[in-house]
Amino acid sequence: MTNLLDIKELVSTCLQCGTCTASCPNSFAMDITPRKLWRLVLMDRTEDVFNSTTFALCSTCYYCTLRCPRGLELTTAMSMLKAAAAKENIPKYRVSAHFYSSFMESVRRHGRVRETEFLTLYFMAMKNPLLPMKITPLGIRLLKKNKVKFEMPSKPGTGNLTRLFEKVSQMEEDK
Amino acid sequence: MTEISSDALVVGGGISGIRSALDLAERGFSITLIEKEGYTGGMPAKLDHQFPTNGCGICRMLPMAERDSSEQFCLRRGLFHDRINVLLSTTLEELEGEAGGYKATLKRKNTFIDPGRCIGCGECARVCPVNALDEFNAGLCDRKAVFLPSPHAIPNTYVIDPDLCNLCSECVSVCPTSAITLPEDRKKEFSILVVDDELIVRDSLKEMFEFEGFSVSAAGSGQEALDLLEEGEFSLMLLDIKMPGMEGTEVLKRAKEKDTDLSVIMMTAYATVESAVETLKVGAHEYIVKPFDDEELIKMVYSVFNTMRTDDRETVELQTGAVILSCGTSYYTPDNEMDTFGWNTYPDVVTSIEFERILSGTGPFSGELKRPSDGGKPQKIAWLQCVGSRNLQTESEYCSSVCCMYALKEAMLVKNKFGSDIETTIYYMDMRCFVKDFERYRKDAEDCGVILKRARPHSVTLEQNGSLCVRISEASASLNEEHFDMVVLSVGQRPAFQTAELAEITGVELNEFGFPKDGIFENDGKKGVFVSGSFSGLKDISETMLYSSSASLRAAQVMKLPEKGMEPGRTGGNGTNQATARDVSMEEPVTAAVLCKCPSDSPEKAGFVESFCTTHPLIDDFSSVDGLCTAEGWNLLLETIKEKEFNRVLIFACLPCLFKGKLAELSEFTGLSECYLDFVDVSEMPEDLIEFQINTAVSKIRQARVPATRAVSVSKRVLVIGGGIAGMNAALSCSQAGIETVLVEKESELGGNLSWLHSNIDGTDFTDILEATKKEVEKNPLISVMKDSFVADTSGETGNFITIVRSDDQGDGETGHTIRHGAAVIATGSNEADVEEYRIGEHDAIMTTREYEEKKENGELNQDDLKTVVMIQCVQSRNMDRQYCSRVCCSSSIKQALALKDANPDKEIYILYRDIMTYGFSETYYKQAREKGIIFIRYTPDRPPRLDIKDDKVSVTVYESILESDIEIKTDALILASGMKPAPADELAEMFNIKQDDYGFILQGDVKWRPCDTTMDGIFVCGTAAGPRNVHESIASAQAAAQRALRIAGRDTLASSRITAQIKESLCSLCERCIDACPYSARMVDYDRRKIHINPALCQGCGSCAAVCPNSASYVSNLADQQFFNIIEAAV
Repeated sequence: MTNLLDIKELVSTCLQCGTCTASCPNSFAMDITPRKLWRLVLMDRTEDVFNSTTFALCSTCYYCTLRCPRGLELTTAMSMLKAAAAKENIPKYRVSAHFYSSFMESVRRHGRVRETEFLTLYFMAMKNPLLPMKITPLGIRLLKKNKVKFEMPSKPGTGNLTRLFEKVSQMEEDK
Repeated sequence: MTEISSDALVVGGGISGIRSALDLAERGFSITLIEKEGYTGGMPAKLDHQFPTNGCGICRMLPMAERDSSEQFCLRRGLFHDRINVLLSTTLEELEGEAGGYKATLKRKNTFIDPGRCIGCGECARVCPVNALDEFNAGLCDRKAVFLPSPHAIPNTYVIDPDLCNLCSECVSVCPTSAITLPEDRKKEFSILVVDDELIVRDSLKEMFEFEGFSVSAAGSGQEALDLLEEGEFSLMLLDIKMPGMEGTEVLKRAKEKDTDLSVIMMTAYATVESAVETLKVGAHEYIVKPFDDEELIKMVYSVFNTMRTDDRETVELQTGAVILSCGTSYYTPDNEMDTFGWNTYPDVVTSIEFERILSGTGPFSGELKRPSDGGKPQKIAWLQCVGSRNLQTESEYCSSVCCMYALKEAMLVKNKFGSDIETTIYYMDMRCFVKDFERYRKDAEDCGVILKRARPHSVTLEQNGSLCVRISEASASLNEEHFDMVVLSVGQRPAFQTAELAEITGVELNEFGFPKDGIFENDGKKGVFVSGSFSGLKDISETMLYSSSASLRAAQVMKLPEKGMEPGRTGGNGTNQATARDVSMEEPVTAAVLCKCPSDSPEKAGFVESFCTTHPLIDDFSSVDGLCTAEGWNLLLETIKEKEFNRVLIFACLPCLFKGKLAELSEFTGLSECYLDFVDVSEMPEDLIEFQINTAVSKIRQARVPATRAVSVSKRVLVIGGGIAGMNAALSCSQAGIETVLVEKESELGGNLSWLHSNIDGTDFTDILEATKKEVEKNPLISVMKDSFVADTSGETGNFITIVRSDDQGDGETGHTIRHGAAVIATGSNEADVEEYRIGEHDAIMTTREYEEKKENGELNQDDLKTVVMIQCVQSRNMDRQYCSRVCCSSSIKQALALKDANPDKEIYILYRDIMTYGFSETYYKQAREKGIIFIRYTPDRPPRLDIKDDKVSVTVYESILESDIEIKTDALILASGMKPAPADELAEMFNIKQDDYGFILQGDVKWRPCDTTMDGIFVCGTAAGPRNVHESIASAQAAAQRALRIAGRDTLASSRITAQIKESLCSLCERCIDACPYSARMVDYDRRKIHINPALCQGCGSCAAVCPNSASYVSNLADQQFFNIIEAAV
């Protein structure tokens, strides 16, 4: 399991005062509160941390970071947990991981996201034939409002960010 | 060679300054006390209530011995002492010299109102058109440019704020005594040159400043400006940067070459801000970015104008031996962008200081509880703790130490004064009631219905219906939204204003947060500048008192001991020496009455008083004088009564006339003792009450007798009981003042608890301090150390005690040493509390803090073997037997945990706590401990940690409230933070006739205001004998106790005051009722002579004895029975 050392260091001075929890606009949907999440991180309960989806629900509004009396960068810590979960292929985090990677794949190809391609990639990664059906009603609604465009593939090479992506992953490995 | 002066300068007239000044004055030094505001008393002058009494006790600082040297007035009204010269509205500007001989330059603000003429009628404020925020009321209401600095000060002299005054001179015309001389209009002499290439800018600025009253010239180009500068004198130039021809920067350079004193404000467009910043380096005063707000520029110009004018201040030079800095602290203003509590946005969100003013009788609502927004009575009030404390976002890593207690107090006051139906909730992180009696106070608060919630609200929002909403998350509970009518922010402490400037002037060192260091450990004896009271930060009233006395003691060490002022007879302030005063008690009373015709009183009343007096059979003469409170009126009074034949004087005037100095002056002038003179306040009274007042006063002075003042000679020696670090420091402090000291220690070695305690949390090494102190004590010729000894018996009273000290090896038949001493300091200290819980003794791994320290020191315990360590806090503290917090255990556990982690970061350390009591700056170590990975788990008393010993391994199970589950920790060591219990002192307390609290600690004379006094004057207490303290605080308290003891033992005689109780022995039946009734223990039975003995130095003249005496044998001088009967008769 991923070593949480970096994240632990980031939140080490946490007082468990609960300001983050009270601040969080998404805490109603979380299975454990942010405060409990940090407590688990500090107590090395890695398994419990990744059994929860709390960090996946962080919408990076930065309220907690702004209000934490210890000045902890909690939003950064949430992102680090997301990254760790994606890397480790944590089952509970599978949906989010595929979602993000499909999104980024589209960006890599074109330098921007193409919704139809992004969703196609996502459905393929999820390997669940029922999933497209599930979001069909939403798709239709969006289509009606002209929010989704069916685009032709652009010229190969236009806006391609492969080199940038390679460089970044190289840098991440070196670190 | 510097000439040593015996005078000390005290900077800051708050309670710490008053304490330091009174301490030194009582020891005979002369003090100059300066205060930047227009009133003394500092922050407590604004507070009507202090915990734990929920009343005000500031007067308890007044001297109890030699009372007559100081006015027995409420200290919120003012400080009056013969040897203290108070300079208000004065600041320290420069300091030269060294310890023993400083030259201080003071700046005294001109108030433009002659205090010798002002009668405090307030007409000026009524007509003043300028409104400004009232700082005394924390900005909750307005005041005028002419105002009363404090609502209760005596004398109540108005002052003018020259920065606000618009010189309209309305006040001058209404002042009945012509006391106001307005500042001269210097604006015409202040000429401004406006340089801008745009005509419209030039003209509008010219018009604007001419309207303000300045003389203004204008130039359209750089060259034109330089020509004008050549021709005439200018004080200020407003200079545009971007101009065709010559640029502003060039004009500035040339202008500065010609006239270096010229002030220049640069005006710049956004594009040239960088070059504007550059101009500051070549002599521009300030810059402003176009387009600017007119008000902003006007403010800038006024600030230049105000620094250049000199008529608003005068410079005073002073020779002084030592300087005591007692500037107090300021409080956090929650207007930072990181503050999301809505202060200054929602009117019903107030700071605790504002709330104190709302509760105050002299506050904006006259003591009614009202919401600032609509004046309605709030039904639900919330307190938010740690606003501007324990928060990195507001640059305050420390705990402010006082806020938990004042929040509890305010909540309790609301409940008690305004109705228990008002809901009060305090949101806190750790409730820090770390002082001995505070835990009980917290319990009282909870009992009376104050709700405490451990949660930290992140912000306050205003709901549609006008209520204030906080969103919180308690440990395990889900989110809650709670609604209130009013929110109080418990704001933390900050360094006093201008601390940095003062540090620069005086060379005092500051810590990382900008608070001055108190110098208790670093005292090298060379510096003559001392930091007193809460100036060093984060102290409550009681600690402020300790650290103020400690600073004044150290200051006295660098000054020459005064010779004058210590001799008997100079009881000060009595005006006429009582010995030379005319005894007129046998003469036929001839009474003169003088009425002050106050311009603010109605002429009808004056007429009534006159007709009543002239027809009064017992008043022989009547005259009236205008404005007695003015210097002119006073001289007129002296002249009026000079020509007359009389031996009693009655004066009708209002309060500001009544203070000490006036009566003394009159006594000196007439040669009559003060008891034949009286003031009667007849202002704002109905006629029948005036008759009543006059009748009683006449009766009182007719029968008065000059009381005999008696002096008690003093045994100039101090007895210190207990040879720990506190006792040794107390002994050293006394010996440094040249007073012989006897130090009694029951063990064979000095050192007390420091023999096993080797360092504190900030790394101070006690081994060195202990060795140095021991050596100094043992080689000091004035200190005789008696080891293996104990106090066997004692008798006597303040100034003269006789104590028998016996040593352990003496047989019962031997008598022991007899010691005569004037005062005693009890420093019997404390021990580690006995632990019975957590299966102590059953396993080697389970030990107390002290056992751990000892085992570590003697090598019994190898630190490397400890992979996991668990510490449990509050083991013998905050329980049913010991309701107090032991104060030091949290810091000491964190100290040990940090040491273990430093040795090996892989060790797992758990601290199980209830509330972490790292008050003050030690909060930074708590943060450090968390940073290093020490796990803190909170437990509650109803779910304490459980212990299991299996296979010779100790394991602790504790419920973790955030994870909502039990956690089991297998540990190599279990350290129990065992808390403090007082060393047995029951016998000692009984012998000295002093009281102890429920736990056996010595009871303090007053927990807040006299923390080193016991219930008996002449006996003082320091160190942990009075309650849990750390080493730093113990040393400060030892110095404070020594200072208190030296007031008595440092002088030859103790004078009684004029009004004391006396006894007619022929009537006394020795029933001893008066002995129980005396609150000051000033009486005892002398069985040998079969009479009651009164110690005149202790007696405060309260009259309790006279009231209980069945035979009228006991009476108070100048209030004898017959005299009183006459007064009553006159009254009815």
